[in-house]
Amino acid sequence: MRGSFRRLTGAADSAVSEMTFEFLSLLGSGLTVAFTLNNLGFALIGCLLGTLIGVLPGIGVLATIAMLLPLTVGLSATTSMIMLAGIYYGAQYGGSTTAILVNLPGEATSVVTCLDGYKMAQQGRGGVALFVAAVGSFLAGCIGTVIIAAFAPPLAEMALRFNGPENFSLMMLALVASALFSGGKLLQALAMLVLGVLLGLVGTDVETGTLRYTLGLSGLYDGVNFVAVVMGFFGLAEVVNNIANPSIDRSTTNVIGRFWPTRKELRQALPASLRGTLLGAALGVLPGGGVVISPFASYILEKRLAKDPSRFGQGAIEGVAGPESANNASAQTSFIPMLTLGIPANPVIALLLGAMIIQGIQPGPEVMAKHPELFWGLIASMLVGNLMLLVINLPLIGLWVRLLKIPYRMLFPAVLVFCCIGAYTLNNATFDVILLAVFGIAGIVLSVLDFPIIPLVLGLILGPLAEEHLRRAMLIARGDPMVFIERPISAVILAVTAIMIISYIYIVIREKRRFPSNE
Amino acid sequence: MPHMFTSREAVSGLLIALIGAMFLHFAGDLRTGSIVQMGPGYLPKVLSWCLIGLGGLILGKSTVAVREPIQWPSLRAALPLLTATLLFALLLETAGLFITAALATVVARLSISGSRWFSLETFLFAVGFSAGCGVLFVVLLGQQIPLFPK
Repeated sequence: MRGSFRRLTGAADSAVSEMTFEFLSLLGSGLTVAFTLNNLGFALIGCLLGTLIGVLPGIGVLATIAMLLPLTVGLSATTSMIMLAGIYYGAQYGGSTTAILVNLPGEATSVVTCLDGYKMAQQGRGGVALFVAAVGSFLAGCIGTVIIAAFAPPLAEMALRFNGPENFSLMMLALVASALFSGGKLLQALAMLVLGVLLGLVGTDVETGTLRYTLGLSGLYDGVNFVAVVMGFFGLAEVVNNIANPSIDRSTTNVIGRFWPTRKELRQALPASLRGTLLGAALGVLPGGGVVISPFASYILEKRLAKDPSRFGQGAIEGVAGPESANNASAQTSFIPMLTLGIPANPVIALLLGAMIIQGIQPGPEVMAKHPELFWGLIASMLVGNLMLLVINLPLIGLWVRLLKIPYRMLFPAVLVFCCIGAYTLNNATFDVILLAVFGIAGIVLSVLDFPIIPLVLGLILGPLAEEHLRRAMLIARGDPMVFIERPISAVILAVTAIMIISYIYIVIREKRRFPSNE
Repeated sequence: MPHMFTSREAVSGLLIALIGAMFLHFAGDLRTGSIVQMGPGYLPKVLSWCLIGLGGLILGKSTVAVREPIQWPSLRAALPLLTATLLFALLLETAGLFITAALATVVARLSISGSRWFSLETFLFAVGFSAGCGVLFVVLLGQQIPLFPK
């Protein structure tokens, strides 16, 4: 003990150790928040619910959190965030179970897991695949949490100095990224983005008090109810699509088999898991589809690195370990932009941001200083939650598999009624239920026409904020758009945006040259 | 191959341009202001034109790209679910949650192929489920939803 202290006498060393100490003490205070009986209980509820909806295809994280949002009003801000976050990362665990055992992605993020996970299950190695997926997710969750704790505070400190121009540039970055990474066609994604911003402008203009696009409906004076939009798009429209394209077979005939991987399997899985974690952590921060893209990226990476790529698709364990770690790590780090900048990286985080606003907390760089118990409590609860999920998912796997037998004719009407109740209870207004139906129809039409929805949702959230910052910036600069380039931080952010656009165009052109027949 | 104007891209482009035109129309009364002092109509008008432009570009692309047909989901799947939602909105405050949720459940079930208007299972499920909703949301979670008809 004493020896190690003596070695830390250098000035730089002591500064580092002081920071480490502060970091540990903050995390410690977070753990005391997370370990209260109340918060532990709600974290468990969140994790259980998350696993449940993760396992069940046809009901997603977004719809679930949207439904529960009105119910969190009675809880404290920290408790409700802990529970909602638990649903989010719990679903990443649950989704892989269905993917491996039934060849059906329980969530969009476990599509890739079907490829090799299901093959492993067919070979009688389902237990190993489940084990690797769960432990890989756990590892990724823990590392992701540490990354949040390490990177969020300095980022928030920097963001505290932002003004109109910086904030507007940042929102442009987020909006452009959401269009580029949506996975859809670029023009369609941009159209959705603009449409989202326009929908965000509906309601009373903050600056002038003018009513915009309310069509004389008092239900629209406070803007379009975000929860109704999300549930229309992701709840109602998803249910319709699920019924219209019924999955072939949901029966699980495969034996789960042993859990413990052999030494050889472990040697293949562990590095893949770590690579997936780092890749996912980096992609998760990107606004837009980072969380959805990360498992695909990890799968491609593992296939490229493998000595024998032909094993992939035939039950390669790296093809389960890498993507499963990647999606959990990115789910974890996608909290960073919200907690530090007040910018949601994806629609789920946007709902969590909505939950914070309901609680009267303005998300942004001030959260960490003003509500340290919320920030550090949430982070510590993620560590606890990941541990809970490991227990929930491995020993209790049989229970979740049995839940898959719930027939669609009961599941979908139930989801629909839950959506209606959720839309109603936020403002106790039947108008919002009608809005739910309207956006349900819109969601069906848009998904049939192959429009990506995520840019619309982010535009809806960020649009009004971006307008406010744009107005402020233009007022400061007297209408000179050069202000965005003259201020260094804003210039850097815009440069990053430009680099993103250029590299996107470069990749598209290169792909077109390689497959010219694809036109 | 579908007709030029019924391909997915063409319909998408037209739809987006149309929505843009609608937003532009309804922004007509809003004061535009200047770039320094933006009025409430400034951004809506700029964005509406963006939407019209994007719609035009998508439409333009449809003339050169491979035309893909549109595959609508069957009305049988969509209609009962949407009807159930609207029914819920219209009935909830007069008929109360018990009746509304049960009715919505029955109607929503019709979207699944092979299900009939009425069977014992439907009835039992609808009643049990709506009672469960009432207990969960109103009794346990204390939501302000009317349970019974006025």
